[in-house]
Amino acid sequence: MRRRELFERTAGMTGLAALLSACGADPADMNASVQTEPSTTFRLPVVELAVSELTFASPWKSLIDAELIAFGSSVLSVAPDSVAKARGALGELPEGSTLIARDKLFAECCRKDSRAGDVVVIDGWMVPTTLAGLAGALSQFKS
Amino acid sequence: MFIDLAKSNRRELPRCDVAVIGAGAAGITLALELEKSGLSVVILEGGYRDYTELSQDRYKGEVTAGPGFTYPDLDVWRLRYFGGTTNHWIGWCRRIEENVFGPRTNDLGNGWPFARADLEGDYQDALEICTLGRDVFDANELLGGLGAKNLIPSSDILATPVWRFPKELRFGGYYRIRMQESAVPIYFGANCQGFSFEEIDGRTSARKLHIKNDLGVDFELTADCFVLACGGIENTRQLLVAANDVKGLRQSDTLGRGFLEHPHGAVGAVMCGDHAPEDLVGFTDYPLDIDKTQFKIGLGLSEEFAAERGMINTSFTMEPLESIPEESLHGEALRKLWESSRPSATKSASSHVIGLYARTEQRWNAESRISLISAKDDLGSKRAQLDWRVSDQDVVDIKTSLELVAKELMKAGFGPVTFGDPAEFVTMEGGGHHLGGARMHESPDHGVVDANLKCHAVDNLYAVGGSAFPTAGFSNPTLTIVALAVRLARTLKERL
Repeated sequence: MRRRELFERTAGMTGLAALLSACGADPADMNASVQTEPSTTFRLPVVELAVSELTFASPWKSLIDAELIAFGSSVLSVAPDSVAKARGALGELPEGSTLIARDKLFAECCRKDSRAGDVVVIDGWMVPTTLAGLAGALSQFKS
Repeated sequence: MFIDLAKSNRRELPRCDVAVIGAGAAGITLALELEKSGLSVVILEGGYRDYTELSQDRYKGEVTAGPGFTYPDLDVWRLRYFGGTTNHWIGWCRRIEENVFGPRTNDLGNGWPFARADLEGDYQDALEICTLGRDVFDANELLGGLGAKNLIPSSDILATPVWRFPKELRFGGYYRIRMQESAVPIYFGANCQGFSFEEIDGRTSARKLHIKNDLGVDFELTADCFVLACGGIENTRQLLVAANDVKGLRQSDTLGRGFLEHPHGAVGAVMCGDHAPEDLVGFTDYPLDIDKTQFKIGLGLSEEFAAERGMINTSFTMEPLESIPEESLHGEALRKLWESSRPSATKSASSHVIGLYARTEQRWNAESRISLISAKDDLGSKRAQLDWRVSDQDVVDIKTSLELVAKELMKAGFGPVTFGDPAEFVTMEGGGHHLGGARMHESPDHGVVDANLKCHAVDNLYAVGGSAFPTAGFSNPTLTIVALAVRLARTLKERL
């Protein structure tokens, strides 16, 4: 599998070159072959962090568009801590989980936040912190 | 008994015990309450039984408003004919909040000079006069009567204020036959031009009322007591004219100052989340109570919570919306993200939005004022000018209240809440509630009328209505205005 395919299968992002560049890798290296193991761990020595990001983002890749990136960028500037919270809460989703399981976990996290008053206000929207954090995390994949 | 002053030959109208100026909600209530007392009562109405352009034109004036707020011309919300402004009243009724009575904290201004409990008996009469049905203003009890569940229960922070709506909205229509058959004469086309005052032993009294009919012919009326009951702006305008002769009316420097409104406006929207819109009975619609009167449940900060923090009272009602407001940033992204957390069957319902409409109080503000201008109406009376001002702290309080209410809604299972474009938050208007201008206070150093609505500076001149409100809460004023008229009728019966 090539890195381009990996990205397309996970986040479906077109900003691979920018992402590699941001992680200190050579964008020209994006067609290099990738070693994989049967486990869920991707071995990408140059972009270890990016892979974990991609794993996290993968279930929500269909949501990523310009609007979400704009909202998520605001989240990063107003409530950057929410991203870590979302990663922590939603990262519990096991590899290969169904969309239903994803939705359920996300809904539970949002309900829990709302009930606890764990909300943030971003550009005139009051939202559960996990929801904001997810948008913030996903927005990092902008091209 | 209806009398057209244009057809009257008597220039001096028969002397009476009580002359009431204005035949709106307050004036009609006074007549109803006094007609069986044995007192001779006369009502003078500037307009006629029905609307006329000529009369309405005399309500024109000038209007300005502070940044972010708008206000229509003075002849838009006021109506100058029998029944007064109830002729286009929508009917929102509830008692004014209890925390506006007595001293208030922070910079909220002086409260009412008596306890709400002192007005309770008058409220009971007012409920009947306003055809409001049973005295139930509790959300749980109302919903329980319909077999519906309250999905937004109140808490220490969140209140769920209730409004009820009269079976009969138009005082002029509903009480027309009763007043026509009453012994109380109502003079139509009787335009109040001012008073003659006399001073005896240092005490000032109104001796005569000067009136013009629509043809400009002068009339006079002598009475033991005169009552201004012609609306918040017109009461104030009449007193400003009178203040040219009675300097004591300006002793407190509050006459015309402290005009209060209820800032209204669409300030946000909330996604339904776990709730189906049709299950929010009473919040998003106007259901019929078991006695066939409509009611509406709103949201707001509890009176105790607001008072402890020195905040104005605020309320927000939920109104249907087609979609996320255009001015909200990132609306589509939020909708998709929120829906992604929901099972397929409830995705679109969970992101269905309901508008949040603010109905709030404002602080007493000396710069918000009614004054006289040089322009005159066709009969030579100076017109009024209104400069409506809302303080920056009021806007801060409205925003804070909205955020706190939004938080409570999310705790109750609702989805994200939008407050619109943060840069454009304040676009509010008045509610057609003309309050303050001749405020009530125990001391002539701080108010124009006393707790009995009598002018401190004039022994037999009263002003009933919204003009007397020292602070306004957020509740629509008509029920309280009618209660004040009942209270004044009691006072006059005792005095005379």
